[in-house]
Amino acid sequence: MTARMPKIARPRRRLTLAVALLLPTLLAACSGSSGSSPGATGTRTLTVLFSNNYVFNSDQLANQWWNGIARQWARLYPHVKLDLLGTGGTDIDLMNKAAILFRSPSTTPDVIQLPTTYVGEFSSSNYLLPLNKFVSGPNPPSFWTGMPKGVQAMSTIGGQVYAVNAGNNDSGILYNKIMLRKAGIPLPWHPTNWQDILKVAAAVKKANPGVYPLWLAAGVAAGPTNVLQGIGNLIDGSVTPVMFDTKTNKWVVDSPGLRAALQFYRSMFKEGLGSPTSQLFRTDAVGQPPLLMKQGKLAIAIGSNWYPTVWVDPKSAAPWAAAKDDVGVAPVPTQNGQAPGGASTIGGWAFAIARSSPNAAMAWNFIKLAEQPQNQLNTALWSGFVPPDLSVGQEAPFVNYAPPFQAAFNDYSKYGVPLPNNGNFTVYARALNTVTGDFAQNPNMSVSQALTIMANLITQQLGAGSVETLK
Amino acid sequence: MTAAQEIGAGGRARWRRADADKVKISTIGWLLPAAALLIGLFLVPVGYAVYLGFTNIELLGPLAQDYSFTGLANVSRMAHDPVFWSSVKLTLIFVVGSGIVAQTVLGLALALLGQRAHVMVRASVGSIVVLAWVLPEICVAFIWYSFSQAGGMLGELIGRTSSDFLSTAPLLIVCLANAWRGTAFSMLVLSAGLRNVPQEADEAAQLEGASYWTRLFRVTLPIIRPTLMINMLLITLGTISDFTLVFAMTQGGPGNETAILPVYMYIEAFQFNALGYGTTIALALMIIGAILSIVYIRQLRPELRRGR
Repeated sequence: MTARMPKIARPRRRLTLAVALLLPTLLAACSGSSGSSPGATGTRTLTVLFSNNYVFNSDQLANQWWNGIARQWARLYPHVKLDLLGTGGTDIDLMNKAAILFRSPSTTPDVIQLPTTYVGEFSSSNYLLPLNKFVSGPNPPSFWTGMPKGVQAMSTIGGQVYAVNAGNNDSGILYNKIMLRKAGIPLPWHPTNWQDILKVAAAVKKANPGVYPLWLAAGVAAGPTNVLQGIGNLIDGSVTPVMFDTKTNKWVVDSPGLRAALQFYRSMFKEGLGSPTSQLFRTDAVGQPPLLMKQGKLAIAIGSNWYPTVWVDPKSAAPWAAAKDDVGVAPVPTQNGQAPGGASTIGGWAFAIARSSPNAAMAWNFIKLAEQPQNQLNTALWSGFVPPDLSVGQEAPFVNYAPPFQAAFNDYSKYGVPLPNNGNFTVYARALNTVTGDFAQNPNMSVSQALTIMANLITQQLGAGSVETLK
Repeated sequence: MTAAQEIGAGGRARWRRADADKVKISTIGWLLPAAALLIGLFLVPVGYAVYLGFTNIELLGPLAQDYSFTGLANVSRMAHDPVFWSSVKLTLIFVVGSGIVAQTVLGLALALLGQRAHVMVRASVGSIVVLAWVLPEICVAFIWYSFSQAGGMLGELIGRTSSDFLSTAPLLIVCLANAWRGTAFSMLVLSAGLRNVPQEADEAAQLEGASYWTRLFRVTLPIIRPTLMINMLLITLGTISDFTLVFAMTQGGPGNETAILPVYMYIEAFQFNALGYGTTIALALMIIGAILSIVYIRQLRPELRRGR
């Protein structure tokens, strides 16, 4: 009996050993670690969640900018480790990841880079720290005071500043001069109303068979960005330029302007002037217009200010040195040419601090570093942004970059209207994108049918009292 | 103790396990780690998901943190949601068309042809077909995305280069992609099943003058029926929860034309932020899967009894 005992006891000893080894591992795995909590060595950590391949024109430029920030940080704050959480995919992927990380304080980053269209959603979730104490007071930072009120307002909700803008996109019309000349259009082309655009697109189609005449974003693939770089420009240039009525807190699902904007889509697709669904519905549709224009497949694009920065960058996906001569630029006209004569949505990216961050002061130091003039300028040049600080936007390296486009888009930013920063904007954007995509597939659908689809989608998510009709 | 002694006064049998002598209290301790893992990693998350399905939780928004139990509100919304019902219809078409019918028929055809083919041909065809199966799903999605969109090889093959099949016939294309990928699995399972068909049975039918098709439908298929049913059950469960392939190819679009239930669930939870409602759709998906499993298992019951 005694001789057998060791045989029985051995597995138990092994089990005890295994438990002893596994338990601390499991406990460590379960405990997680807070954003800027002190580490084992006493070094604090500041975590920053950002997009590593969507904001900048190439991954290489993204690495260059973030590595530069990391070096500057290490010099300024050697005792605080900067943990850069780069995330791949689109802006939607980044926001979904962030939304999940923010559900627990143990996984919440200290600082988040986010599109301005999402600031409303994150702040209404009570995830963001109001930054008023940092940006107001007797000595507000110069990058903040240098921003136009409209840019500040993009991340200000109910008087609370939830994020600091790092760069913006506005819109305009880019067109292939050779194709328009072939169609007999006098250059420079300066459309004065929406009908002009359709008329010229039809002429271009006739003179340049096989070319996509006009790019105007449609469909749900790109999320809210498709509103920013697509139908938002039409709504903002319409006779009723309202998506969200701040007086009634309701979403506009029927108005003369919205009807006209949707009618534009209907006409465009019915006459075969729009780009094909194979391009519009791609998951990477946002990046296609500069590439298609370079390839000579697209004549006119209602697009964004970042396209030319792709063409001038030899490391980008579509370098095109001849673009400065072959491509013309004009503002998006208003519906009937009414004042102010041009229209542009405006939206960008910003930095915010998590409400649960244990070290908000250090997180603010990071934002100050990211917003330093040279860093802001590099962001603008390498991402195709208009810098939020007007003084940075007037610097020669920026104004002289990608001529003549940069100066033109700087000028169009005077028409800029920010997208609604309400927490439910993504729902409204999804409804708008759904019906523009429906027109691309079925241009015989009536505008009234499209409005009904839109209203149903929104009321299903937000309730019947969330929508209104503007006369 | 006799069986009669085990019957209580009220006629209720006092249950006693046949292996009762082997069950010791101490063995419960040995089961605890496995039980804890099952409870912690399976039952608790599933239970939590069931709970979330009856709340108004949002991914982002005012109800992201301050959500509450809303009873059957999500179920009621689902019952009145036309997109949900359209999604159920699309899911059934996807599962039946690309899964149960296409994969089983193609898999069976390949398995039957493989039986008669030269060993080299069988090995070569089998390797090519299995290659489609072992490819990661995301790769299959991108292969079919490139193959079927405008300018893709599908248009080239049929002489219509400008055709954009992924936009004009999106459900058909994702069904074809799924069938292309999953056929190998059926082929492997059914090949194994066919190897177990006794040759004497086939030869006996042949001596009776039965044609090939008669032997196939009257002899071979009835014999491999349990294998067929298990194969269809696995295909159904695999296809009904398929997300990657469809989402990577179409994101549920254009419109909602390919928004099968897993994709629609994702759209509601992650694009409309309706995490609670998205979870309710997930529960509905789970129930549909469970019902289909029960149907298959009931169909299999005679065979299981016979095999006992």
